[in-house]
Amino acid sequence: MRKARRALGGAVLVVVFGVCATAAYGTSDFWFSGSLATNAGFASTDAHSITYIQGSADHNGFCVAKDQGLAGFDVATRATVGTQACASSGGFASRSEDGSCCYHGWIANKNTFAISVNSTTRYDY
Amino acid sequence: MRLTKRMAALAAAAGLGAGVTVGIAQAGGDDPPPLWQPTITDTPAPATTAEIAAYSVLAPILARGSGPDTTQVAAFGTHAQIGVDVDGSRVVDSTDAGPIWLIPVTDGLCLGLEDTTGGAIGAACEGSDDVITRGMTIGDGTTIYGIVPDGVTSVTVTPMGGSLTTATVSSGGIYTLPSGTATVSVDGPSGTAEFGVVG
Repeated sequence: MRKARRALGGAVLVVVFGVCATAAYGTSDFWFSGSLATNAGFASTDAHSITYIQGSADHNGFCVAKDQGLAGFDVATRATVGTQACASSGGFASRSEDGSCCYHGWIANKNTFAISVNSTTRYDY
Repeated sequence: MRLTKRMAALAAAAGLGAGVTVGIAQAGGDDPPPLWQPTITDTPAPATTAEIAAYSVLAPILARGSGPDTTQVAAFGTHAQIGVDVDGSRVVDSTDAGPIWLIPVTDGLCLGLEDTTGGAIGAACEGSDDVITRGMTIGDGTTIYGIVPDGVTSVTVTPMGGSLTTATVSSGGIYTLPSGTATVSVDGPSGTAEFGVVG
């Protein structure tokens, strides 16, 4: 009985710790990295209550946004539900969002050549 | 001997080709370095002397009254963890959606477009040297917003396939361009600098 109580207490502690950690730091989805072809965009597989989106690459000319609808590849000119943030002259762009549900992360390359998207590219939810 | 080693390396690369390609695409481990990557830190990085010299609006305010609402800049800082100096951020102009912010971060500056009603902010960031020399830009998918150092009153713009035009700079140092590809020329304090914009 005492062992069962201890086990239950431990389980509760683990759950509470997990909830607190999630609330404090959220969860990140590093949904795309590597080569992104000219005029291509990529939407994350999952959709969440996005609070932040960040993109980083080896060239300027890419945009990040939250979007709804299709996951996976599409043309970079696709209109997104969320306002875009474009790294038009630098290599870092981000959006801090209101956390409403539910959106995919989106990154698009508007250059006439492929870019390399850095592995720090992510969205938080 | 050198040729033999090269051939061996090529053969090995060919043999591993598919696997390596997939690995890089997934992990990004061997990707080229990003154009600019800030240091990850929660410690605010106030504007440097050089940044303040180029953008006097960033000078410290000793006796602050009730300043603009920094809620969205603070949210950006919490998530980005790139040393965003919320108190040192300044409103330099505005769009229909909200203020335009110039935001000091570690080793660089960010230009932020706040959507006050939507509770959001978009930000693009670049390294200090570039921003001091020729300013920086951010696009929102429709318009590109640029900022230039103090004293610059206009920039020349050559859209891809178009002819040279002039963009007027606001009192806050902001100019706008339609989204697209163009070359921007800024006659700044350290001479003329030309750079490409895409957005």
